[in-house]
Amino acid sequence: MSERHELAAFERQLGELLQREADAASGRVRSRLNQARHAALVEAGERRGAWRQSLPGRRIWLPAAGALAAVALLAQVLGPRPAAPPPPFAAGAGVVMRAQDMTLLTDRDGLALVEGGDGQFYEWAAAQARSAPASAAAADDEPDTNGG
Amino acid sequence: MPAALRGDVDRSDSNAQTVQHSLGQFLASVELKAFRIAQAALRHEDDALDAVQDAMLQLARAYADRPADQWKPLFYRILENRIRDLQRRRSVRDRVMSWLPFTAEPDGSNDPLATAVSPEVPVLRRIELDETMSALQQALAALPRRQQQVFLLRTLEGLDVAQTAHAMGCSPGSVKTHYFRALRALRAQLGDLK
Repeated sequence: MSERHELAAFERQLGELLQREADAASGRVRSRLNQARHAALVEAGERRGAWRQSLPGRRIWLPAAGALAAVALLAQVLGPRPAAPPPPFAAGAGVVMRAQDMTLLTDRDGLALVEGGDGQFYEWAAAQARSAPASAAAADDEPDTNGG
Repeated sequence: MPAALRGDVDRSDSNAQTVQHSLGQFLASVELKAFRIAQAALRHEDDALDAVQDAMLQLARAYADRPADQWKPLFYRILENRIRDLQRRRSVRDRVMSWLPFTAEPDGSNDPLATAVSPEVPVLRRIELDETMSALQQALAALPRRQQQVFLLRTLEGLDVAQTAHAMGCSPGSVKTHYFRALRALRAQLGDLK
């Protein structure tokens, strides 16, 4: 028998022996391996379950959400831009209007007028306006004592 | 939930159960051989069991979704890495322990399960096996580690050259060389087996 054939036979014998020895493992070893296998299967199950719970129907929703996000991004980049608001205090009419607003806001007399704080003054002024024509007419009717 | 979506989830559940069932069968088919391979490398039962358990968990965690025909080389690749890690860790631990004035009692030394044998093997045959296996284990232990692992993966697990190369992280040519050298060395040491 050639060395090759002898080696092949020896290889077969070793394989059978090793297999028999592996099958003759102690109860403790079998028990530990059994526990390890179940732990691994639980791990695999939990991993898949966690995926499913976190994202139900992910085969549909994940690509859909991705496509939607891509479309939104494209629309943002390529879409028409809204007109920019006029810059504050830019040259033009806006400047005048804003300057007037500022003047009104900072004018204490104007604010007092709006709030009615000087009501007495306006009442007096109105009374003066009413009484002024009467006194002017009376002055016209008065005889000229100076011989005029 | 829309009917289409419910159908998809049902299919997913069914698929997950199938994968889990296949994975369970696969692990059951390799666990004893994997343990023997780890034990030959580590020469420590608990370390070997830890290595196999870690490899199972890692396979289930990271590769359960891979096609089932890829599981075996992946599993043994993980186991090989784990064995290497444990050997490194042990060499560090041994160096530290050699400085201490006491030695630790091995775990489970009084555990009756540890010494229990499988009831499937008759006692006389068990004695014969023990003698032959003892000689074989010594001869295997004397082999360089890579020769030993290649030999066990090919002979015990039945991986082909390409799968063994993947599991060992080396070329097919290296696998052939290691295997042939291991076989010749064992033949020289053991002679004809009875």
